[in-house]
Amino acid sequence: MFARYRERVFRVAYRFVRNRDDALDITQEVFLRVYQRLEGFQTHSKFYTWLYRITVNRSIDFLRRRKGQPLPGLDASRAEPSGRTAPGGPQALAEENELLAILHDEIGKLSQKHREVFILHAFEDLSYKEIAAVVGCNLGTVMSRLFYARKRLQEALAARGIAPPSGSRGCEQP
Amino acid sequence: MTCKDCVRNVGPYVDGELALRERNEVEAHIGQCRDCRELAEEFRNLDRLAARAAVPAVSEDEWSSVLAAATRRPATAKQVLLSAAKDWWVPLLSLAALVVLAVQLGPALFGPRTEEITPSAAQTAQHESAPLPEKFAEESANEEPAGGEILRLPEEREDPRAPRRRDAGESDGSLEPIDDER
Repeated sequence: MFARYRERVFRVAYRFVRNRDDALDITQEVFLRVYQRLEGFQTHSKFYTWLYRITVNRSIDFLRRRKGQPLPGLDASRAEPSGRTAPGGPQALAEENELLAILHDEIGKLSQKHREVFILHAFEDLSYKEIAAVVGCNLGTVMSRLFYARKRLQEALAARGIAPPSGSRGCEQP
Repeated sequence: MTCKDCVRNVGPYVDGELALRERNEVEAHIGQCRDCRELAEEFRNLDRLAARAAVPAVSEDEWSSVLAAATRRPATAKQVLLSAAKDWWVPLLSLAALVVLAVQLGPALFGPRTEEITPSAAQTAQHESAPLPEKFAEESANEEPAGGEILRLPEEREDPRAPRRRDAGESDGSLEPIDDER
């Protein structure tokens, strides 16, 4: 179980706290809690939904404890798996890293409710139904929160003079 | 479909969360509305950028440490108490025992021994007032102790160059001047 889900837990925790060591600590806390409460797990819900909920809650608790302390910078030096490249070469990769750092900054400025929905959607690719199960709300609320999270991020990036680069897919409309 | 309806549905449309009929309606609208089309494209670009964000690598050793810490059994109440005793009570009791020993044995080991052999003032007075044995009473009557001359330390000898003290009857409180030439 640990080998199967550890990456997901660490990834979500890292998106929240933006620090590798803190994310590892949260991962440890999450699995400690999972092993303690595994017997009480309700089998009708998906295990990883439950796991995501614990991870999100632990990450939010961590941020609350850290409230007032300066937000750490993104672990950009360690955030790059080996072999990652950008289509435009090293310079384009550096620009993209800078853009991602700004995006993470702006995600950190979102409210907790908007942030958790955006992280679960954009980074974990959860469906609206899964997000609703994790955060404990209905589908309409997920749609609403995700819409405002996206709009605020888009406006924040535009205010910095940045627009996310268009991808190769482009507009799907004729 | 109005722009208001489209804006509400453009996110689910981009995310593939719409039913077929709604999806067709949104596609029909954004084909004609530039603003809604741009909004959909902005959302896509944002998701595309987020998807490029990497997370730091974690080594197998680190994962092993995390797993070991997460699966460690929580301590029982007895273990907690024993641990607390080991941490606090044992050193504290040892220190208390050491203090008691020091209080009890300290005076015996390090106290002043002269008190045992020094007579008290009452003992001294009693000793002086007691009558001397006959042999020592005769010696006490003589000015000089039996057995010879009085030995004086060099410092106690009279300095011949020092001014001579007059007898009590001649004393006028001053010293006689020294005649160096004499």
